[in-house]
Amino acid sequence: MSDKSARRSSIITRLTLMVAGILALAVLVTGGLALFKQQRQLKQALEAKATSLVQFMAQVSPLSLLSFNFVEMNNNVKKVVQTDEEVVYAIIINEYKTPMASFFKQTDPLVTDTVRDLVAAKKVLAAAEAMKQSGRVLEVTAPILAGKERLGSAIIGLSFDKMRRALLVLIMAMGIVLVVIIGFSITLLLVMLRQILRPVQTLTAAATRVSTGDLNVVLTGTDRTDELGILTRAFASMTAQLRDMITGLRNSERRLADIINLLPDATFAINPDGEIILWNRTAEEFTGAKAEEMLGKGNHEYSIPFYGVRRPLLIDLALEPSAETEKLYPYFRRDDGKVIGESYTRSMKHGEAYMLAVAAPLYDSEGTITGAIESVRDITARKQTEEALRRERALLRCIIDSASDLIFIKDRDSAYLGCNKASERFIGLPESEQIAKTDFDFFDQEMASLVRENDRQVVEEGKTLRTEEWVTYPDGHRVLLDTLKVPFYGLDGEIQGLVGICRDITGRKQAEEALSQLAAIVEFSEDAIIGKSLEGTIVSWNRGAERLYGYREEEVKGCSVSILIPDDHAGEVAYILDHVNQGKPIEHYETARVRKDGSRVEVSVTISPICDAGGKIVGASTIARDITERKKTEADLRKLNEELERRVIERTADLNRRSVELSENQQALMNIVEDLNLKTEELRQANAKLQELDRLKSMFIASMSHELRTPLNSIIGFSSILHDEWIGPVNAEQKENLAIILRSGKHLLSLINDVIDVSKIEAGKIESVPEEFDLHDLITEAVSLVRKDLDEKGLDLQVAAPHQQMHMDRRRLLQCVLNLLSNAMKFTEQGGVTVEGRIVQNPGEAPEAGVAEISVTDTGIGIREEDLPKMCQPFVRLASPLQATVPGTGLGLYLSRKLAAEVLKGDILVTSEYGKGSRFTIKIPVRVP
Amino acid sequence: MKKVLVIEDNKDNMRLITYALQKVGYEVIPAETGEEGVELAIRERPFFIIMDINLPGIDGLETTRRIRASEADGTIPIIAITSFAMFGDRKKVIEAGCTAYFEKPIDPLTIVDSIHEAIGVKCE
Repeated sequence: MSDKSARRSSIITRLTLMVAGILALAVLVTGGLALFKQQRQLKQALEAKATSLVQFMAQVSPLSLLSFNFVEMNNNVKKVVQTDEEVVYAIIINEYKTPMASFFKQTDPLVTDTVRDLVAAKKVLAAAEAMKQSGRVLEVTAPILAGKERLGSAIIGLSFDKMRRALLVLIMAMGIVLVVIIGFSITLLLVMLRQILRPVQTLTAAATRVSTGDLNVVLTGTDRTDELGILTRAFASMTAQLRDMITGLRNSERRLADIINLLPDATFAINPDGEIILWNRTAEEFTGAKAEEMLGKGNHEYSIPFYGVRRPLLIDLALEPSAETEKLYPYFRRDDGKVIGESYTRSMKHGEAYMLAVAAPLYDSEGTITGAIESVRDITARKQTEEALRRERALLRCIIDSASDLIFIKDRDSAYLGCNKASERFIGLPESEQIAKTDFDFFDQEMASLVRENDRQVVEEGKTLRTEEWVTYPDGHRVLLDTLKVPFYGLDGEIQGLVGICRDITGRKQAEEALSQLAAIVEFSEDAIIGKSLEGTIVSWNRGAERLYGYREEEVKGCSVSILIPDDHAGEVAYILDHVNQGKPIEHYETARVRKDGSRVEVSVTISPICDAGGKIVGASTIARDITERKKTEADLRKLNEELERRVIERTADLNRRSVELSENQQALMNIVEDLNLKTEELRQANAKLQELDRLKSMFIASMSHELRTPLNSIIGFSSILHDEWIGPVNAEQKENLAIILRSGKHLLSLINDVIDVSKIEAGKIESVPEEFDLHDLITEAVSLVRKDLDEKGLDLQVAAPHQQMHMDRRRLLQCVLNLLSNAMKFTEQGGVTVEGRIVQNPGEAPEAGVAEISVTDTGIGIREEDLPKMCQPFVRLASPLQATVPGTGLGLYLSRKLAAEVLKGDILVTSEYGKGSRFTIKIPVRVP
Repeated sequence: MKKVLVIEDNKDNMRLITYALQKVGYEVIPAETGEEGVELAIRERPFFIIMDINLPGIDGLETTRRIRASEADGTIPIIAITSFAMFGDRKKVIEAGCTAYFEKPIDPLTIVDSIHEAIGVKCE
């Protein structure tokens, strides 16, 4: 309160002081300025007066000074001093600054005793100086002149006192004005402030009450229309709203407390300092700790009712994560700002408890954490039920799993819901992989359909079904299952599915079958099989026994076996029975028995003991075989064997003899082979020599032909210019003869060129020089070289070849094509020549491998089939109707073939129809870029 | 009259080429050896040179190299005539500095046209 009043009074003081200060400052400034001006005016007036007086003195003094008329001078001085009350002293000095006359106003307060003493001592100048020292005297000097000559100076001193007095009066007047102004303004301000401050004070008092929590304030002045009225009304409405809000808040707080108390879970909350701020009724009931004991407690007090010790709880984890604390919870997770944990305690008031707790931080509207809340649910009952259920289920599971029968559960749609271990083993898949699958996933269509049908009967008709069926499992094994299927019902009494129990009775069935098979084998066995008791009584008798001994089963059953024993073997019965009793079998014991008709039969007997399931010997089986026939056969066999052995010995001797002969022959053969090898070597050498000779021959021909070419050059050249009449005119006959020389020369030249090429190929001197070129361009070039001749013969020409880049010896290929073209042209009189080119690529080969096929087809004379093999021999010219007229070397085809085969590694193929035309095809492997 | 230097040791060939060149209107300067040819080439500055490759003494390739070495601008066309119709000759001949290359036997009726075509002279 004192603080507030101090602040309020300080507002008034400050305002007042501020206004007064400003006014005072204004008065002071204007007053100061006026004062300063006044002082200057007064000083100027004084100075003017002093100047006029001193000049007057100076003007009246020259004569008296020159004449040393001291009296006059003194009078003058005195007169000046007395004429004006402000003049304090006047002095006249000569040019040597010696005072001539002086007068000091003895009455003036400025003329002190010191001055008076100095005047009395005639030290006038010192006295003037002393007065000047006080600062209250204005001294003015003027020269005393006679014409231009300075005679001395007149000095006058004036007192400032009068001027100062005037100024003092002025200052005093200003002070009075100042005080009046300040007093007036303060009064005015106080009145104004009182008017404004009264309602403000009311508001302030109201605000103070509101701040202390008293909202029931009644404000006056709400009817005012000025700003204060608005402020007051706003304050009143604000207070009313606040009152409503606080009431609402209290109500909702109350409701919240009720709700929290009503919560089925024990709930408590803490503030950021860890002090308990909430402890609901369920918490009281659950823990036995009352809210009034708990509220306000800190330092993990809240854990004591739960655990009996101080420790952090989930609520602490909601505020701050801690791995240490998390470990205290067997189950713990965070979920969207919440922490959830399960725990167990033995320290509750009623003993042990399982708890599920949720905790979360509490936030205010700003999002700042203001504490945390935890809600604890007692899940002891549920846990105990779960535990009991789990134990029972485990027990049930154990029982089901230990059953050797297959047990399974299916839903209404025959999908597996579960199965036992035996089932797992049977299907070969763990239970988890069977669940939700159906029999269609494990068995074949037919099998699964059958099972499904059975299932349907059970789940739809509520029947209990028992079946026995063969089942083939995924791995192929077949089993016979004895299956019982019963429906199971849900809580609503509806059939939920079925429970199946299967027993694998394959073993039993097989044993039964084996037994009946065995019985059949025994029954239909050729041997006589008899079963007897330990006493020797016959208990079974098969057909073999019937045949062997002649008794029927019904005749002998129950009789002693001794009826079969001849008299001379009587001791055997005891011997056999003794053996059997000891569990020893008797095998292939050859003896004799008696038939029903009394005849004897040779038998081989095997006797084995028969044991019951406990291993106790209960009887014996006797298997007897008629060996009369066998004995006879054995004797025959023995004889045969001996004969065979003898023959083998003879044959072996014969073989040995032949073997010796054979080895001799082999030696001879080896000698021949050696001889042959020797001959082969000689032959190979001879062949090499021959090849060398052949090469030399080819080289000889090549160089020979080259030498021949030089003179031939001249023959052709000169006959050519003569024939063209370069040298001079020749007559028709001469020209004809020259043409013959020219033609023969050219023929000879091409013959020699061909011979050179053939020789070079044979000598291996031509190597393929591959380059890249276009197939079409090559054929075009070849055709252009013969086109003139074709046109002359009037033959038609067709060309078809694609633009295709290829890699190969262009020059040699061109030579081949040209040869084929000129060949075709030579032997064609009518029709035309067709040239076709293409590149064939086999799909199986590398992408760059291809075969260039260029074929030249003519409509010429053709070739007889029997002549085809001769086509490509050198110097062969087939008999033809045109032979006489067709020029040629007979080497063209031979050379082309050699080039194609040996240089270009390809071939030339010929097809022809005599009289109709021929087709020559070059096939050359090329690289396609 | 434009001059043509023919370097050829075979008299018959020389005569034949001379006929062919004169027919078109060239003046033929004959040379029988490479050395003579180099000297005449420098002195006469012919329109073009016909060069036999197979010469006694320095061969046509060497002669060509010497002529090229003597020239400042290397502009005289040199036409090589060779009887060595083997692969690789063309390369050697062009490397030595020849402008074009023809194989023997030459046809007197067409050789000059072929040379003109090779050195880029229009037939008049």
